[in-house]
Amino acid sequence: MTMLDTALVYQSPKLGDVSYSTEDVIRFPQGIPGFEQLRQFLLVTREECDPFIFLAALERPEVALPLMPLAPATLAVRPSRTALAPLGEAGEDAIAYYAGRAALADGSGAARRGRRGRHRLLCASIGLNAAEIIVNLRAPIVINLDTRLGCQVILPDETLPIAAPRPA
Amino acid sequence: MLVLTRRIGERLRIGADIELVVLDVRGRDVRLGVSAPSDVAIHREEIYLKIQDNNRAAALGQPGLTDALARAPRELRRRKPEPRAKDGTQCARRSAR
Repeated sequence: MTMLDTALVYQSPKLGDVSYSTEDVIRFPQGIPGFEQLRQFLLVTREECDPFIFLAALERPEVALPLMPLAPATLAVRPSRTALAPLGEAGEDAIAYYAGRAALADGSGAARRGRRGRHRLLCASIGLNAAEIIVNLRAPIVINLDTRLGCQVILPDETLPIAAPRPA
Repeated sequence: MLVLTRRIGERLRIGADIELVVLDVRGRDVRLGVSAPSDVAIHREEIYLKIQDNNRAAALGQPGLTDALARAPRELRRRKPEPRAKDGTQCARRSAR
């Protein structure tokens, strides 16, 4: 076993103890908006929260951004090649897209906005007091799983909602 | 802050490869054209600030969100569960898509 394989433990107040190795670390060379100084993250899953996963900051364990994986087909606008260039070369299947800002809403206002909008979305009620899960479709988190580099891309389409019900 | 006065059609250069041009002024609105290398991100400030706020609120706030997500009906969990550690927590690797 090399030093690189040594198991490390990330202690998160939200997610508990997470074992990881250095190869699991994902670098965001420019951080993400709101956390521009943070560079190193882990993608942490919890089976009971599936399909949601958490982008957890190694440098600030209290920072854990819930993400929902997005199928590329659900993206109304794909980030340009130029926008993804900092992530390095990758085959299409190495690029993973995630919608950030999972939040719980107790009304259907966002759902109505989504249905009226150009990007028709289905409301996904999660059965919590008729709550919806709200995600950000304007600025997906994009990760190259081969190079372990990530970024948050602000898509140029201004009709995309920053807060929308999660796509079905 | 550097403050410069420009007329319609006049330009500013920022570094070697970013150029701003004043296209039009109508009342309180100013139309600007920006030429920059394609790897330079250009956004309206208010959009960036909104995304900053959203990220901070989602990543730092929402106590109990993890538990709330965990209570979501199983039928909404369409992805196959991934191999997990004994404590139910795992660090996603290549298969996390």
